[in-house]
Amino acid sequence: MGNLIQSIPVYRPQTQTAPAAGVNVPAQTAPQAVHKPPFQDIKNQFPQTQTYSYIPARPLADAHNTPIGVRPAPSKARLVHENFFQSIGSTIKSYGDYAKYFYNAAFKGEGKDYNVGKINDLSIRAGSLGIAAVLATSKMFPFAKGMEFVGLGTWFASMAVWPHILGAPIKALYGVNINKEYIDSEGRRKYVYEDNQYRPMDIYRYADLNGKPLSPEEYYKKYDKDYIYLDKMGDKLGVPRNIKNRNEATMNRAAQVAVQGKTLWMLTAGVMTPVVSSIVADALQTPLKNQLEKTRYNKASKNLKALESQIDTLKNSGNRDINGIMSALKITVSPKDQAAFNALLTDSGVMTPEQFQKLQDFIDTKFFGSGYKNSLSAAMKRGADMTEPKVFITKELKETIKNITTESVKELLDKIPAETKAKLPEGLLNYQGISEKQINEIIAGVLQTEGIPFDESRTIAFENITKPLGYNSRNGLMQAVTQKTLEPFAFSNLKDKDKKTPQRAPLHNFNRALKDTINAKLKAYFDTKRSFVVDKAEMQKIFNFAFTNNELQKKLKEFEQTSIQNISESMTAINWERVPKKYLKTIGFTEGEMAILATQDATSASKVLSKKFSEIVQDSEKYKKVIKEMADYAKTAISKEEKAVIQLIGTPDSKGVLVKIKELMEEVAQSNFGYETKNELTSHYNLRINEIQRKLKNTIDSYVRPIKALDVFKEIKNDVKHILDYTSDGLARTNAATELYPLAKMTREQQMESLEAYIKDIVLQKNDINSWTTKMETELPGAKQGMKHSLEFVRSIANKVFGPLSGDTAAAINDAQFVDMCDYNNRLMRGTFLRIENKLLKKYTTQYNVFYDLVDRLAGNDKSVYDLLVRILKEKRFVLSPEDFQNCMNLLNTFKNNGHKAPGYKIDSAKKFVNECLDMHKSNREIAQISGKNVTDFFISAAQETRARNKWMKLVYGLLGGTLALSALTIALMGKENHFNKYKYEYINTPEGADK
Amino acid sequence: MVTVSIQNNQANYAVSSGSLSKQAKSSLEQSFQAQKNSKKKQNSDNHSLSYYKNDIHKDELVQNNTLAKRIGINIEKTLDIPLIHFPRGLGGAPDYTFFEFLQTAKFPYYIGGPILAALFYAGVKKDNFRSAGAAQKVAKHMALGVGLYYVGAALAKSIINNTVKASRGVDLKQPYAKYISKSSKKSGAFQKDVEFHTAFESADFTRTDLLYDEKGKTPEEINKNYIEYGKKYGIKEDANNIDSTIKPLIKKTIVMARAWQYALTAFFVTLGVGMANQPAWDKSSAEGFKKTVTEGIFGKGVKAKDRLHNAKVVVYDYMLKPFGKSFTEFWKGHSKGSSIAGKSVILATAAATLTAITLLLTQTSAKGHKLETTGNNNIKEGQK
Repeated sequence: MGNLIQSIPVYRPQTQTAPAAGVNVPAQTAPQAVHKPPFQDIKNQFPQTQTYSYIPARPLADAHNTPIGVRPAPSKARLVHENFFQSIGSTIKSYGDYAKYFYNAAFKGEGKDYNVGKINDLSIRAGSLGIAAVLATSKMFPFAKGMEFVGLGTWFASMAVWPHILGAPIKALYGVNINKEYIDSEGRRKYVYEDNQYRPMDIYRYADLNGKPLSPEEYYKKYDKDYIYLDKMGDKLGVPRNIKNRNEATMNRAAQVAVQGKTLWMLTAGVMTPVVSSIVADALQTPLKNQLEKTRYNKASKNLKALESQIDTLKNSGNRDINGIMSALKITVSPKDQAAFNALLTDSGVMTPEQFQKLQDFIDTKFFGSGYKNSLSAAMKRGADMTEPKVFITKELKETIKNITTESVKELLDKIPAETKAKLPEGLLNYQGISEKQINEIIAGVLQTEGIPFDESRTIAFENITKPLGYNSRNGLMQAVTQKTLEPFAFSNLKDKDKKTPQRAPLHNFNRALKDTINAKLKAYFDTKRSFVVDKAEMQKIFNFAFTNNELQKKLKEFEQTSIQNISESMTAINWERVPKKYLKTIGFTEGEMAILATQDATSASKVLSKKFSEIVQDSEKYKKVIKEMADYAKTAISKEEKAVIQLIGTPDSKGVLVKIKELMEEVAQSNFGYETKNELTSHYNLRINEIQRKLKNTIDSYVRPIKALDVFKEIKNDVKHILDYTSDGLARTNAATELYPLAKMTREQQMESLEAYIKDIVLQKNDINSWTTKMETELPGAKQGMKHSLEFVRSIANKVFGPLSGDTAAAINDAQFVDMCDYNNRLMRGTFLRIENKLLKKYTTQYNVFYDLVDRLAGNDKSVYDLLVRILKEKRFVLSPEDFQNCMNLLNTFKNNGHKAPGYKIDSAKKFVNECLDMHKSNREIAQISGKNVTDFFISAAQETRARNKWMKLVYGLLGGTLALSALTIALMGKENHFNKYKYEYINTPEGADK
Repeated sequence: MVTVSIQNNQANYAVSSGSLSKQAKSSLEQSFQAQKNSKKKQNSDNHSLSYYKNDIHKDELVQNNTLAKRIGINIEKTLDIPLIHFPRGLGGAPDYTFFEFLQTAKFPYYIGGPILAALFYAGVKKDNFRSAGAAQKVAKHMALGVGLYYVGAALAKSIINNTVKASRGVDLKQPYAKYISKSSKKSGAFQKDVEFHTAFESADFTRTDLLYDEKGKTPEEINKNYIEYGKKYGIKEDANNIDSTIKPLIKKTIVMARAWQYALTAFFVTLGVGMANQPAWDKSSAEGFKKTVTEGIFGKGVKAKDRLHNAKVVVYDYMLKPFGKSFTEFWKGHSKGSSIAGKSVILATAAATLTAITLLLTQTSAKGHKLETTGNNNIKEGQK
């Protein structure tokens, strides 16, 4: 105990320099008192007190080495000085460390607060990745899937970036880097200002002016004193230079700024992380979508080209064997499907009707919606032979007969009214089926027909006969059963005239109905005893053929889904997302107009549009600009789709992949299964081709229509005048005849005004001529019957609304090809819609044909329309039969070459045939498919999209701006004296001279 | 009672800083002290929250760790974030602590998710009737996702907490009140009062010192808590040195429990968001839920019986039923990919939970730990 006390350094009275009593200390090792007491001034103040002197601690034993543990090991902590890429590298590396921390903590319970805290970082990221993955799997399309991860990435990026954004101005203003890190002696990475109560000043000792840590040797080569970095920081913080302990004061001030900065970070991170994340993710959307669209399309296109070359090779090879084609196309039936198919076939090839039905059902469901189900069924039926019913005399037959008779009577009784029932014999009402005895009699009769003797008791062992009943026996059986059933009620013995008596009539009717019912039921029973002899190889061929077709369709579909199909993330869908908004912007709506477009009904929206369009056509410079821009947007949107459609279908002169596949499969169907199957297949493929064509037409019509609408607005005055002039005779005539024509009662000015309003409304809202007429009636009040009574009137309006673009517009577009596309599209649309008009104008229906005027001109002397007519005819190459198509083409050529002018040529029937071929008859569904979005709807949805986005932008950028402003203000107020911080310094010199 | 004690404190404070004569001051002080002591006694007997807020002079374990008290503490802590920690932080208070920084960090954690969901909803086409409906649906799933994210995180924590409490008797949520010395308090607004921490929040600086019963006379009384833990950890040892045997085990338990809390959070939040994304939630409308709560349960003139029924409807039909259904839907999935994802998330969560519980049960017990032999304890010798 005494030894212990001796080892503590103490102040002792100077007089007692000798060691304490009882302690045996070798004299030579006893420490000498230090005769220079440090507190001389204290001593002077208290002279009367004893003089003390400092006696340093005495080691317990002779020290030969420097004792370990007496002083702390030198700090190995160092500042982190990394550039952007290095810091990413160390972040990645640190996640590896965190995983190790997790293993040690979770499985061994080893670790410290620091390590456990880092596991949280790892876990948050892992959890977010898991969430992104789960959400991505719930999305259907690759872009949406990808965006989940992009969102995750931007979220963490903005979380990581925001403190650096805040830190930059703080560092610039005050020299304090709130994100500065250091690595402590244990190798843990920490923030210098992590804990306000722990301020590692030492680590700045050898930092150069940029905060880069140097080795002491390097440092002293450059600088002659420590803490040069803190010096600089103090200057920036405004810490006076001539104070005592300036570095400490600087550290305190830096800590203040750091606490302020980090609190600001926490205050703003909750808003800025989602805001910055959304802004970045939003900005990334367009380039990512473009890239993805390109990649997907190119990939699909490449696959399609590969398929095309395979098809070309096959077509040239002349191989029409389905198995050969399958192996050439590398199509194999999946084992699962093959097994399911095999299970439906019987070994012998003989199938019961149920089995055969199941086989058909399997094919039906397997290839449902493929469109060649019918051709398949046809081929299958041909491949399977039906046998005669194999009916044996068995117990089952006897039971069946009994059941059928009972059921038949019961069924009929249920159907007839009570009063009729009353007239029927009692026994019939409680009928319990044919008796055993009667059945035996029937069977005995049947056996007799078969030439088999039976014994007297008529109880022959029927089961011994293994020969099925022949046709006559079966018929005989049927007759006998009906007869025997009715026997107890003596129906069969009635004479004809007795049957008609009021008492007897119900019974007679019942008799007849029962006969039919029993016969039908027996027949159905016999049918179940038929069987099918199926050629298994033929069936397999059919299956393979269907399967091959299916696989080819799938490949085509993959391409369609990336390009022309209107599903999420396809080329078309992306166009629809973007282009209408561009149109909207080009036209330049105000916020208020956009609100009306987006939120109110179509009538209000079209009023806004009408006003806007009228304004634009007034200003010819603006008109040119708007038309040009819209045309450019339309071109990009249409050309993408057109390219895809050409790849699929091709042009009349060069075939696309789909057409090639069609031709190949037709040939395969013809050579393997015959004409019937081939025809079915052809119509299926034609349907698909036509649908694709209609899709493209829809796109063209949608984007072209606003341009044409603007064009109509520009020419409206001339058009209206022209229409009124052109139809004036017609008007007068109609008026005179019926006095119903609405315009007739108006002055010329009123007529012009009304018609103008009406046509504007048509181009903005109505494209279906069906609704023109009703619209006319509402537009021009007081008229119960409207324009449909004037064919010329309708036609002349249609000619304007669907007519070619005016010269000004064409000049503004300055692209002959595009103008031609617009005009041709309009012409076809006019044809399609006017075809409906024929239904309204019943009296014209038989003679009126859309392109008759063109045909007449060709048959006359105007040969310039030939090309146009050929173009229209080619439009229908997948609608008409090949023979009709060729014949029509021949006739057009004849007309062109004046062949029809030869004597005796039946020109009328020739023209009629051509008109019929060119006729644009379409089902309502088809019309809906080809006609594009109407102009008002087009702009309504664009306005809705734009407004939603504007609202979002306002919110997001509002939050961003607000938070940034708040941050800037807070940063400006940092490092100043305030409620919590009062700066008091002890100056080295006079405070007055304390300039920096 | 609560108000009285606060008044006492304020009065006391005013007096001590006032300029009354020494005599008057001391007599006043005495009388207040007497009052205060009596209150203190009462308070410490029933351990009300205000006792810990006003009357402690050193760090104290919060006794009777009930749910109500924890809620009270959490409300206290939550209110402190905007009222005390943020102002102090923005001012750069010199005595600002790391604890305060961590408290402020909760703010972005809880508002980030809802703001992201709100931003998403702001960006959808609402003018169009059809897309507005679809958007509302998506927004609802997002809001639910945010909600179930927090629920998942809470569930992960609670599973571990309960496991540890049941198996080792260690209540990881055991709060203690950290006394902030009055002399270090700055007068005026935003002063820091008392900080509520949890005794086991740090593995490095676990407040094992608070677990001793300082009023105890015998080692058994002093080490009462440690003896309790010892039973659960499977240690039969002398009451004198059981504390030093238990402490490393507690540390180990804390480290392992925290690690698994964080790890399980990753699984449970994924599960939560996955479930929020299922169609089960589409059927019940948010509107109906709101109506049932505001009018059915808290509405005027509703019979008590109906209130109870409506509460059942809210809990069962609006929460539990779709919750359960969304679980099965998540398991089944609507496509091959999502079915695999759902099954693997659920199975992985179950597996991770089981692993966590198993490890906590086996590895933290005395059997799974190499006991450091402390040799003969010399407390009694020392007393000689």
